[in-house]
Amino acid sequence: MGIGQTDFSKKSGRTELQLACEAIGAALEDAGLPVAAVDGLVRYKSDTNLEIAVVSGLGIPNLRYFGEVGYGGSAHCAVIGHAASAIACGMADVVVCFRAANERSGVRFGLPDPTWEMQGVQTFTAAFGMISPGQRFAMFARRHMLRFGTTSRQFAHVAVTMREHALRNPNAMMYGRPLTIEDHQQSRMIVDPLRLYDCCLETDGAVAIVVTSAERARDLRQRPVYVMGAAQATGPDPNGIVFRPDLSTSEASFAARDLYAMAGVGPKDVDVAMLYDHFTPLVLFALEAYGFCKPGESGPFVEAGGIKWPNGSLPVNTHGGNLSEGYIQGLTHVSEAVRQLRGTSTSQVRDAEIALVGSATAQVSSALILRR
Amino acid sequence: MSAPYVPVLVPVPDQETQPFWDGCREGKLMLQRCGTCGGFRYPPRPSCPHCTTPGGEWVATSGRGRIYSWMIVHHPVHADQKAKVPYNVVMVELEEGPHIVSELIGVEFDEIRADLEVSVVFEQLSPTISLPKFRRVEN
Repeated sequence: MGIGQTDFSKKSGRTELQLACEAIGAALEDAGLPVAAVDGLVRYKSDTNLEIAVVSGLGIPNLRYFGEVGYGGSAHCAVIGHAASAIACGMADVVVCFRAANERSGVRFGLPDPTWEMQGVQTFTAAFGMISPGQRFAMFARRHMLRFGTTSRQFAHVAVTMREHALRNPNAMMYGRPLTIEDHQQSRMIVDPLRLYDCCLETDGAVAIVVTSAERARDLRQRPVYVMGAAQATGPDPNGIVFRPDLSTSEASFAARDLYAMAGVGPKDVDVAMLYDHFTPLVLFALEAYGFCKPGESGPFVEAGGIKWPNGSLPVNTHGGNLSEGYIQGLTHVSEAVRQLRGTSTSQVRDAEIALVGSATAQVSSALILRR
Repeated sequence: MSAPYVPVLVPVPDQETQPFWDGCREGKLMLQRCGTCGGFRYPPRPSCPHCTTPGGEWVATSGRGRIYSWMIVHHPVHADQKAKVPYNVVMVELEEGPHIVSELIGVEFDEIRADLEVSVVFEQLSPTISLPKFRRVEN
């Protein structure tokens, strides 16, 4: 019902709590609701702002539902799903989901906590030089290349498409900064086959989303956007991420199955998609897992312009995504889906009625189908 | 001449994984095998992922496998990595089935390819910890 965000920058100059309160305030204003109406909060486990800090920070008088979802950006749709569940069962009426981080100026995300101990499944990866997310997902990218002939140039098409969308979005960190295929191909290798431009941004900022019941939404300021379906998934053997038998597919296919069943629609009904783009190859995995492309066909699909606004058959990440707008672990993807369905995107898909938001995060995944 | 870099990220065995690390110290790649279905599993864990039966026994395995995937790390995210870049990390599909993360030693990066046959060797990190690494099998 309401979306709000701060600016996205390399150095916010504010605390993460200030960022959270600012974004939540903006989302409540967008919804036309006072702070006192909020009775539920769902956060990402990786957020430093506990629910109680936000309650005190904003002056919420009484919280009836609080919860958190782990696994980093995999939570981006799951937090909305949890909010919807709480409302559907009557535990809360107005739930705010948020993510706030000084990820660029503060602790760099993806780096090991200095106090991290070598225990559990980490023991079998970190000692062999596999620590950061990129250093795990590179294995998936390589396997997709081996099995299907996917190329780095096709990853470049994902990056360049995201940048083209960002060039139309004044909120994007990469606004005004074009990127070509050759720029991508000549950028330095981070972890072969992933180059610099295959990796998402690091951002200081915050996003908040207000979720309420359909009945309540009818009386509010904005045209409602409805949650038709929500899903979360692991596949078999997700622990340690890379040890599962097949690195060329994603557990997101399980989320897709449940999502489409709950929503009563299929991939062909989706007008616009926000696919989690922490690394370019995982957009290809998402296209396949959510049924937009057959296995192995996502590379040629993006190379032919399939995800490009306005002429692609499935515009993806019309805001520029994690790769070019800003990286708030995917909550920006929920906001942009809402904008598309309200008709207010900077790259508006004509008559957009149904949007899919989803990750093929390759650790766990979550997804939503929204409609106007 | 400066002293060799001493890695910080050294595995810490626990009650569940101790047999694996004991095996590595003795030059054996030990895996858990299910008592019901005979399936092997890795990394170590309480129950069989194939048939969900808890328990099983530790068995010395062949140490042979083939390359399933790989990456070359150029950008370090930890001091241990800074001392080593660039280096390869491989996923080996062991003959017994499970996949293991390791390093392929004795090759140039451009020699690494899918299905290359490899065999385990052990690299000592400390008196109690040796790491399983892999070498190409020469036919």
